[in-house]
Amino acid sequence: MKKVAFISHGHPELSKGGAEVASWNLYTLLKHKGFDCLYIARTDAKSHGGSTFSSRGNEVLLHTAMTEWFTLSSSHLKPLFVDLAELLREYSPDVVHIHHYAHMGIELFAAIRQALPDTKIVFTLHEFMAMCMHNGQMVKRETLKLCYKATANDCHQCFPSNSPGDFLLRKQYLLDQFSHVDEFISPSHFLAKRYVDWGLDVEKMHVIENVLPPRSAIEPRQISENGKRGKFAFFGQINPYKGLDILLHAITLLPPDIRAQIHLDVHGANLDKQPAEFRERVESLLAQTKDCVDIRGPYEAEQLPSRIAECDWVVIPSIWWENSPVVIQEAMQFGRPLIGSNIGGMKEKIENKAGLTFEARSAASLAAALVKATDPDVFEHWQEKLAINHNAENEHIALLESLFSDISATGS
Amino acid sequence: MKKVKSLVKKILGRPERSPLTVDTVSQTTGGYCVIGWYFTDGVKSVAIEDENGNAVDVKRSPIPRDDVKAATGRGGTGFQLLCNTDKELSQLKLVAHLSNGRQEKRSLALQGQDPGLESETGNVASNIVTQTGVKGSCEYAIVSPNFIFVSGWLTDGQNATDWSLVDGRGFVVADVEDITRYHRRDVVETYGESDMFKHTGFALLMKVDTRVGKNSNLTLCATLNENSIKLPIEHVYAASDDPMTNAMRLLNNWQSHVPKQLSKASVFGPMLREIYPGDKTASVTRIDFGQAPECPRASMIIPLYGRYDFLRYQLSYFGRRPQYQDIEILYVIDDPKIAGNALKLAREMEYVSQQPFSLLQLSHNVGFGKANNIGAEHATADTLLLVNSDILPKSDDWLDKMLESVSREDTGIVGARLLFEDDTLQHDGMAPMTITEYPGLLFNDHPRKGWMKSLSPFPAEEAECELLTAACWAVKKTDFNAVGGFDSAYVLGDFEDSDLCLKLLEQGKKNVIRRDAELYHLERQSQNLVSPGRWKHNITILNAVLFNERWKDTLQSMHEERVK
Repeated sequence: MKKVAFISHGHPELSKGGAEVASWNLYTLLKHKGFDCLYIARTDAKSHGGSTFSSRGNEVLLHTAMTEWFTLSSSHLKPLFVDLAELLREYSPDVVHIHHYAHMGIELFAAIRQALPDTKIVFTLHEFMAMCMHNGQMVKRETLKLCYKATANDCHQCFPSNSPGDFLLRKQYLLDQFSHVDEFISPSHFLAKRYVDWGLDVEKMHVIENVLPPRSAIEPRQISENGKRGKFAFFGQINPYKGLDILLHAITLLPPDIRAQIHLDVHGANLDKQPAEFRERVESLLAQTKDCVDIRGPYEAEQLPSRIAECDWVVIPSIWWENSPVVIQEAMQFGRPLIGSNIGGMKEKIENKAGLTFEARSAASLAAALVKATDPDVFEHWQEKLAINHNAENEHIALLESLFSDISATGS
Repeated sequence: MKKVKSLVKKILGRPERSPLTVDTVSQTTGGYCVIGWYFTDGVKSVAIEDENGNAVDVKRSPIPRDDVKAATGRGGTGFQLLCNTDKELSQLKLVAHLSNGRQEKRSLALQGQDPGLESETGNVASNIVTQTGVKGSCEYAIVSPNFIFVSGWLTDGQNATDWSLVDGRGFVVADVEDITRYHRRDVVETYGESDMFKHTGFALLMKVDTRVGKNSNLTLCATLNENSIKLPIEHVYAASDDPMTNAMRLLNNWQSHVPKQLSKASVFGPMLREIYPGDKTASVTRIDFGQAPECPRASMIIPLYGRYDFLRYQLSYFGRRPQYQDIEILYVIDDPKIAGNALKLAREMEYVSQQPFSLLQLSHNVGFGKANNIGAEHATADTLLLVNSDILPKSDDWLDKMLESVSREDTGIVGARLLFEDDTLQHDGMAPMTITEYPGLLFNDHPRKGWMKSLSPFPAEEAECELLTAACWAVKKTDFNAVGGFDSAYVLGDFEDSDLCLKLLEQGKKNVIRRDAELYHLERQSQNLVSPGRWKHNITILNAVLFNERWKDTLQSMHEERVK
């Protein structure tokens, strides 16, 4: 039986980022399809007796940390080059499927390559971290303007304490480490193109959407004969990049008769942890819109179906590019059309496929989209058009099968 | 004793830490970037001011510092101050406006450098008034086996003569060799303008008759209008202690940009070479990583000074590519301050990179030229590749091309086309140039620096080129050794590369540049002529003076050829 080892920078039961969830879903799917899989998740927690490994259920926990965020490096190399290497050699996978290097160190790739010279290394890209020091956002640090290309000099403008030369060195180092990867997976064409333009080998790049656990669509909300489709929902972190302030501002621009017929539920948290300026702006907008906006707070995965069932539309007004936000896939799976910014991954996944787009960062443009969306015919048009792409599962399996046959062909 | 100390600590309490911390100061293209934090309850705001106390325009960005609270229990505010200014860092101060209404001022220094020594001058106190009403003071002397340098001021109208130095018993220990007089603004500011207060400053180079040690009781004597003047020397420093501080003492007041003062380089040069003696050896500790190649094609020598993180990038690069496996790589750690960190990073890179390499740790800083000479002594290959730490190859074929060229019998040094990170020219061959402020001297120019390659008049191929930067050289070890390697009379790394280029030309070799071999050279701004601290700049000037003395005619004809 072919073996696949997964490496994730967190266990989804402990840390619910998009990459952790995506890797977990693929792992669960492959196990279900009969593959022999091992899931290794990095953790912050202290281990028993200082060991590099512990477990959580059937999954391995890897105890290590990243130490240098400029080069995304770790100086804790024994856990990777000795301990993880030994464990992987013992398990002897045909493919190692890596879903992040953050918190472990970019040297992870070299460690696996040295331990398993003939094993295929697959790496899924989830954001622009290697390209952009600004948390992988590709948004300028001070002005929050969109960034179209990471050049050494522009990066220096965002991070003046590092010289342009430092950014050239950083990029070269990361490309060196990525050279150990056999195949890259990007869940969106947008992200794939950015990374190919930046320096990754186009021949190694595969665009395959993240897989979701099997769940069926939820019937549209019941409305009265002349009712409107005015129940909107926002899912996600409340931070400057997710654009909740744009959405609230758009609501203040709605004509009174429309405003009386709409409602927004905000399913998210962490406003209290945001910079003061942003926090004050959102608080002020919430005060102006309290007639039609509720803050519902964070939610567990199990609560998602019931929360999403309450709404007509899911709004994703991010001011950064996004990659393939899981909320888009989930909304589509549950049968809810979307309203999203017309940039990056949102444009790719929504435009002409799953709902309405608006001029990114423009409250006026979003307000117009909200007005349009309340029309039941518009809702119906997009709701009927939604179709979750089940090919993603097959494409992931097909890629693995092709790697297995490569390995057999080379006789390893 | 320990108990007493801890008791005292208990009673007095620990000294309260400053509410202000500076994490990093770095140079940007237009000025400086200062990053740090302060206790939110202790400081109201921070600003930067210049030497006249005027606020400098800064762009402020807050940085969340939850870690301060976590570590100290007190809330912290992080800041990044970005200032665009032409001023030198030594002219700027970070000012914190404290909650108690007071101010705290900080000198700023780039990472890895000590804040510049405050000028020895500044607090003017006349410790003698002679019978004739002449005021003066002799602030310090630097003593070495051959020379003594003495600095001070005297309101003698520049008429004093017969300078000599006597010890505590009244015996003359040194006689004047050379002297320069200069304007002391601080004296005028203290005593007012008058003819007697013009050019009160003096710098004296004295030839030693009887050797004296530091802390000796020395008095400077002179004659003025048949009266004897005696100036006791306040501080006596030994040249062999802490070279950098002594170099600052020697050179921070020399106004080399004034032509009359430039012509007095002879007062300072001999003492600088006492502070950095050419024959001073460093002990070397060699540590090997990985299986070194048995018969390396070439030995690559890379000095490390200040920044050690370059080692990560280079070893990552070399390790990824097969053509470096038979290259011997020798890092010369010419900076004891970074030795520990460099060793730690080297151990990490031994895991990450498959490239064998060695560290040569030097017991003290010897400067670029000597560090390379030491590397060459350890090199086992017949061909040397001298490579700066901030070099990263752009094309993989540079190595084969340069080794091919250097293998020819008549070829001396082979240089490369070096690029900035934006692919513009950093080095395409050097040429002599004049600088208005320093008439009579020729410096090394990098013509067409910052140009796009496409604008260069030279095709990407091999060409003869007399002067090449040692940031990236291939040279036969026999040729390098035949001229004695880099000349250590050039202090701390300037001109020794062009000096060696000219020596090989003199030996009948030709130097070539491979403009088809491209490497990035992420030249550090601190290496430029305009660098923080006048002393460092003045070292460059003294090296230039020596270089010009040696090669005046050759340089002149090369320069005439260039401007023709």
